[in-house]
Amino acid sequence: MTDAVNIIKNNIPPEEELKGSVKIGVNFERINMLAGSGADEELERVLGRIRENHEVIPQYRGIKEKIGGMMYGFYINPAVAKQNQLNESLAVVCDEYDKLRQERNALVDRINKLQAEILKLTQELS
Amino acid sequence: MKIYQILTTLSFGDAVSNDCLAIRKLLIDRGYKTAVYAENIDKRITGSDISYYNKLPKIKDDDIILYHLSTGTALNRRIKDLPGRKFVIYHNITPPDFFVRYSGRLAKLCADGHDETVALKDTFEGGFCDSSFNRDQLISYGYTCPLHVRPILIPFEDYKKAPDEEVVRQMSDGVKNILFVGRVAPNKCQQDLISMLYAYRKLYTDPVRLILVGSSVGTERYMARLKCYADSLGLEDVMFTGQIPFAKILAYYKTADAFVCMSEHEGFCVPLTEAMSFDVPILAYDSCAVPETLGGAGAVIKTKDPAVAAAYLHEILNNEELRRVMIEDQRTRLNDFSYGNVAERFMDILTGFIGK
Repeated sequence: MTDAVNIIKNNIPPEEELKGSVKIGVNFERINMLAGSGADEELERVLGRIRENHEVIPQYRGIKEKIGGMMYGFYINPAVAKQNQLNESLAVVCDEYDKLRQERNALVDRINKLQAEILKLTQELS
Repeated sequence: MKIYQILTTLSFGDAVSNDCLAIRKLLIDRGYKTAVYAENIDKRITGSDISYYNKLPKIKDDDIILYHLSTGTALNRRIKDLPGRKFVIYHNITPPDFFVRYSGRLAKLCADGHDETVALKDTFEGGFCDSSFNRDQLISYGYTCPLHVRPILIPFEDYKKAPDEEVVRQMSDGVKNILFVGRVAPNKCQQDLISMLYAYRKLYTDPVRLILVGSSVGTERYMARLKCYADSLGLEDVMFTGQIPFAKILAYYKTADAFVCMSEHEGFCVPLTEAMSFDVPILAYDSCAVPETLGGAGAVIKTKDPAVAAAYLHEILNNEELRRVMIEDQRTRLNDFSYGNVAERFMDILTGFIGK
């Protein structure tokens, strides 16, 4: 069989030159797992559904309600009103969650940057 | 005389289960009476000769047991006490150290698997090993029975099924596709593939994306760390597909420009042969059974330095003559894993063991 590695070696810079030529500022082993969690994606999906259903459009349950709605221009179905109220509260929770997540991500970024700086300084010292 | 295959889990699409089902078909074709018993069986797998382990009938002394050993399980302790002539089919057990940081349950499972494999050293009359690497491991555990190497039986006909058209369309957008297929697990070292992609972006300008196909069930913490790593490096073109239907896997293979494996523990590595069957040039890290499975095909590197890996990858992606030569070599190697060749090898060993 052909030695593909040797063919490649003839066409690329020597490995000694390549080794270490790309510095990766993030250490996988020391990465902070607070960010990038799979749970975030799942929560995002749930929150998306809540936001989509933010307002429930009243469905008239019978001819009487429909006539009432047509005559008076509005009709409030108690169940729908309750659901809308609940959705309103959930929306507040969503907003609060988003705000806290942004704060958390900002803190995680700061921690990561500081960790990278510490690593760099430690390497310089040693 | 009846041949029983026993294993912990008969699932849909994993290498051990595929091997078991292929052996079952082979034995039936050759006229043997055979049956499969497993503790867990995927509902999609049916057959009058496939049943749960607790329904295992009384085994006679001249019956044959082929025991698939690939993980820690209570079955490893029960198998010792069964009558009949016992042979092991060893698929390897991942060292627990890989999982300690991410899953206590998986680490324990692997640690138990290791201890149980050692404890079974005097149980079997002989063994089938997927690779020399696996055989050497059993020998190091004190196994003295005859151990023969035979590759896993892979149903390559299945790979000729139609790939998912939508995925093929999405992946045919001019961006080069770098593929790895395998469970998202610390021993597979997907983080090294992400590092390689980062180096590639720093050194070259042609657009590439990394596609990581595989389930992360049980290794969610490792997956979270991988995602975080890719995010931290600003790499947007890393795709984690999770567990996907077979047609989609076929589509990713069909549209792949290179298959890269940085795994540090493989007892055989079926995806390497899958990549060969799709004519996808392979770049792999020299570890465990990987070079043995490649058998001189593909490009094997001895370093994980991201810049070196990226340089190799760039050459594989852009040197047409090299690609042609690599694909030719891979086709030659793939022939060694053809169903006919592996089936004959398996039957030779089996008849050598049981004498008929």
